Amino acid sequence: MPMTLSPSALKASALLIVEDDRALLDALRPALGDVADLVLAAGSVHEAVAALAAHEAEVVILDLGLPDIAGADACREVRARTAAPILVLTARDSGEEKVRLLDAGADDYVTKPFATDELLARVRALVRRSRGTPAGARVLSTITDGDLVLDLEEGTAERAGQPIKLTRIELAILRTLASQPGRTFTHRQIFDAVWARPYGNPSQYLRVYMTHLRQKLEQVPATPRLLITDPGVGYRLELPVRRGDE
Amino acid sequence: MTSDATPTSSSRAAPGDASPAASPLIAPRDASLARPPWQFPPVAGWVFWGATFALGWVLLIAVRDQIEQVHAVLGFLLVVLGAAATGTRRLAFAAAVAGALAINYSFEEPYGTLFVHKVLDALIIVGFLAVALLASQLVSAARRRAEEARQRAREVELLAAERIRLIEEVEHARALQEAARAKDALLASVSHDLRTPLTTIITLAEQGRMRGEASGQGIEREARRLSHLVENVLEFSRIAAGAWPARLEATAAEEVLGSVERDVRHRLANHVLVVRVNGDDPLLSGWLDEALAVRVLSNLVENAIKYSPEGSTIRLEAAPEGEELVFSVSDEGPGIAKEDQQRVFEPFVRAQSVAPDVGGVGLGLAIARALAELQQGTLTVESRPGAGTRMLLRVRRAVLDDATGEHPLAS
Repeated sequence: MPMTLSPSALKASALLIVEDDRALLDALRPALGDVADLVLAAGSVHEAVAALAAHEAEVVILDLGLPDIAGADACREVRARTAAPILVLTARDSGEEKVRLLDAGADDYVTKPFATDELLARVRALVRRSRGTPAGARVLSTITDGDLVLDLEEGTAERAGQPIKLTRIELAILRTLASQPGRTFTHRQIFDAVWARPYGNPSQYLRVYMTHLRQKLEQVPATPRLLITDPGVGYRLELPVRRGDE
Repeated sequence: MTSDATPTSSSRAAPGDASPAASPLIAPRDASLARPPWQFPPVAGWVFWGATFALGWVLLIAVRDQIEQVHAVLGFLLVVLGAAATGTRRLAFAAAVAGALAINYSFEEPYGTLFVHKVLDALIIVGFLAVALLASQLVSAARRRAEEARQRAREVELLAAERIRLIEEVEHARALQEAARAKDALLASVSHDLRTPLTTIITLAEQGRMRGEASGQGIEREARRLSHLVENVLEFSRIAAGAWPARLEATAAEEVLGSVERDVRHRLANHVLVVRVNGDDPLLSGWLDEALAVRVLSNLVENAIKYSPEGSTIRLEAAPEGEELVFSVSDEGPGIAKEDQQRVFEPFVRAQSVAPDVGGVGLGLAIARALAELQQGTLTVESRPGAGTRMLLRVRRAVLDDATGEHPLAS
């Protein structure tokens, strides 16, 4: 498994934190030094845009309660200026809000109040993910979980040597999720990637397919370990955690 | 502004009736509305004009020697026109025929017979009949057109009133929606303003703890407790303000249970959680808002963890029951006394039997029940002291249509 980068190797070259609350910024700054060589700070979307013009950030942490532009619009604005992963700090724990953020270009979100460890883990995951995806880098093609072997390139799966039959759409869903393991894709994003047609209720189709996939791939479908539902938001593929990796 | 205050009170169809389903778009034609005030009801018309005709006839006979035949003809024509203007067409026709017969009988010689003596007399009668029928036709046609115009004016008026009512309803709905949005935005900003300093406190406390400061852990724990209270109060306000929209979708029970399990797994400590979908149908589903359902059930499992002894089993299950999908969380805790079973769902109330050090403000179950109701479901409790507690979330059953129509790829 190529997932054994040690935490210290996962330092972003530059991290931009967009946060207007001075106290929180000062409190977070020392910890952020653990995940980035250079920590840039901006107090508004406008300052963030200026900072992104001057420096190339490898990851952006974006608080949503900014004074100039609010909510998902702030996210859209930053996304237009950088391809770097965006981690949003939100004070609202609602699925709808998360869908809005992910659809607006955010890569992940943390709900306040959060533990510093959780924030840092998310930042590292984003850096790892964004380094893993560019062209030429490894593409996740095989997933093994216990006695399950899933070959996404070949489109085959087997459990304990017994082949599992996957349909074309099931494979397309798996490939979409596997393109960025750990990232939650909204229903709409998966639907757009898998079904190239503009009709139908994405959630309904998707739920049925995900149910089939869980039946086929999960050891206990009611308590999935690979195909994770983010309630009201979407789905993600979680790679089996090897002991000591967490 | 409420829709009861619409200016439709002038119309008969709509006043006080605010619901669009109950009031038809156009009020039904009402017989009394179709008849203008100068018009007789049918029977009264026959009686009145019958009497007038008879009276006129008698009077004309009385003065027959002093008048000319043409005066009698004009007299009867007047009666026919009167009948046409105020009665039915049949009445006008009857008056014309009766008039012609009366002229023939009483005003053409020889009197007292229907025998027509001269060609000129026949012409007079035919002429009278023709003029009377034509005039009554014209009068009743004009009357019909006037009535139609009246009816149409009334329909236009009703339509206009209906339109105004609909517009006001739409505006009312929009105002409500905007109010909900405004409340939601306000609560979001309050939430942000409260959670941001809490995050700072927790972050600093964590750093203190890591440096080995004794107070760090306490500050961190209390800050988290405070944050939990803030969250509960905000959620409760959001529900109370009607600013929490539920989006109901057909969702598989299995998916909900999986998310709940994931949510509570790290809080289980020494409890055993058994997750099970009853009925062996992986597509067993209900109409629910996935995020809300998961929140309700996670809350119930957390309660079960809090109130049942370590090492005991908590069961998280879903089963079909008629038209309903029933999620249940059962624990082996002390149970809730009968008299407390309704009260536990009230805000700021905790069962008497509960140890005071459990924490929280007693909003958890009130919020859970409100969230169940937002999903058109119910949240109830079944419990006996000493025999554990079973919380039941019921929602309407749904059918997740397995119309995928896809066959597995040949491998």
